[in-house]
Amino acid sequence: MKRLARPWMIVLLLGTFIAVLVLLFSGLPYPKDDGALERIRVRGILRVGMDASFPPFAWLDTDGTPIGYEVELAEYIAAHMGVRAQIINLAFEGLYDALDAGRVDMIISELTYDARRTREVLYSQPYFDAGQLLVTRASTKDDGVLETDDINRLLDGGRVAVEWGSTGDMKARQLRGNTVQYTVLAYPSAEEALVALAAGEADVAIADAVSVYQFAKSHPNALHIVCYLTHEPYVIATSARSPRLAAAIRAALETLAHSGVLDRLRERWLSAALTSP
Amino acid sequence: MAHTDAPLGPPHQVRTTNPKIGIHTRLTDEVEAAKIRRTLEMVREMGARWIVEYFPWAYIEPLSGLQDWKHADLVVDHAVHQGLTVVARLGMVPQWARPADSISSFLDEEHYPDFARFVGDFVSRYKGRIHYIIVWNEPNLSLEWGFRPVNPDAYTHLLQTAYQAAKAANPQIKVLAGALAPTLAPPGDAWAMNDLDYLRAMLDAGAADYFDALAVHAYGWTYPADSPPDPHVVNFRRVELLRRVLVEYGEADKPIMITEGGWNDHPRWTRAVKPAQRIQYTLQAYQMAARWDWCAAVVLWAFRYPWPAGSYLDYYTFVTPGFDPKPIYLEVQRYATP
Repeated sequence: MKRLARPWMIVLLLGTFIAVLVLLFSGLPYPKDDGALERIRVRGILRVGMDASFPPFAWLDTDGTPIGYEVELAEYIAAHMGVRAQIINLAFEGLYDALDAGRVDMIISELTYDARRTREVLYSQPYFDAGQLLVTRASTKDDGVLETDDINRLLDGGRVAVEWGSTGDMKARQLRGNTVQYTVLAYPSAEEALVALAAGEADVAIADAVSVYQFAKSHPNALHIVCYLTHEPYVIATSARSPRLAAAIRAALETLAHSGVLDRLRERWLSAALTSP
Repeated sequence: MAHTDAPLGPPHQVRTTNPKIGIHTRLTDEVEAAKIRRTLEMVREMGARWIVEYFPWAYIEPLSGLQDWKHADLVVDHAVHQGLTVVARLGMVPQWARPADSISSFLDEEHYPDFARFVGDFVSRYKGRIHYIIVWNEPNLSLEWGFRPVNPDAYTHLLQTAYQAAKAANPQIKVLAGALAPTLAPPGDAWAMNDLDYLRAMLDAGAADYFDALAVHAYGWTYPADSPPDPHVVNFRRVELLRRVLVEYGEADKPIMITEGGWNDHPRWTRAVKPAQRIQYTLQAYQMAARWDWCAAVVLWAFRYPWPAGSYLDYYTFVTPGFDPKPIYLEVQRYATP
């Protein structure tokens, strides 16, 4: 009996193996998906939650219509999925609750990756980094800054312009230590710090990426981005129950990045008139 | 309680030029004893005498009758040892005291006695060390009232029940009411009630017999600290309008304590100010309140979060999660420490 059973066992094992392969590659990679993506396609609407009080990413125009980088990005993502975006303006504190309660399909609102929420939500890849930038005048380009030693060399003995009390101010105070010494020049706003840099009152400046890009819009070709000193990548969140929707959003972002749409959004709402390594 | 992870060390006193300065700590979710101690040391070193800290009922009594005071003891022991005056905010309903599909700010009248028993236990446990408690938080917001329509009468009943239990446990305890959210919500709004209207409704319902001081949230939004009070504006001096309501109702003797407030310096939030303005307005607020004889303390939001919020909320803090003092911390310290 044992001799006779062995071929059947092999057939059975082979059959099981093939069945597993079929399941894995049959277009059912998300057995626990809640069908959100299909519902969006049937509805023809992607419901987008955001707090429209953070210009230039999202705010309300004089008619109360949401506008900005994230509004337009949401519209591009919806178009990529073959639907239209419906912006639902909510207080920031209620965004994740709205997502959990199924009131919106995705949230985009200067969100940063939060490891504590990854049981409930899925995050996309970043679409913008709003961290602190080290910048110089365009005329003093230094493309060789990659390591901490390079940053120290650039800062040492120099004058560093910052906005008084800002994250950039704090970063400037942190970097100044025993091995590197420099003068911190504190200004009432990031713009004034960058004006001081452009005018030669300072050698470098530390400011958040949005302030740097916005300054560059009115002062084209004045600044050179040396490197990011901190990172604050913005991401999109969807419910962990909707992995197929999350995958569709990731795919849309990928396409938008490769086709230059993200760059164009930055140019439209911020500025690209900067040099960077 | 033994503090092997973070010894208490020698007792301290707060040295400050302005004894009304306070800051809201966020130690509820801070696990490590050493970080709790470091937080409270830094508060003292900034020259702040007062802290408000949240003691969630749901954390202390996760099952009915089963109380775990370890974390609360740790916070209170270290705070008192640093010479700080603790104002304890009590709230957050455990799962067993509310329906399954409700949020943690939902408490029906049937369970008011359960909350009152917890309040009594809390006050009794910390008798002689905690002298102030706040009953609930921002009950004029639907979000803080179980996502139900707000109800000043029901809150007054809750306040009465909690007040009686607190006084029974310790007649010397000071019970703070309100902690109302500043809001310009129009009449009939589904999500909130104007704080001035809510206070009047509370007083009409007889709340004055059940609190010793009024807790007020005084956010400045984009306005300087000295921007004049206006019923149609949310600014720091809106607290004066709430004071006027107390006076109007013959309750001028009841002090006010600002238990949340301040300014945010996010680079882009439409209700934020520049970091330099935040520093200037904050110092101005502390200085103004020093002259208000009816205001006992100004406790601003917030000292430090255990982890980054990853949003504009991080721009309310004075110290990073990694204990790096922000410039606002250093400026307040420069002003407040002799």
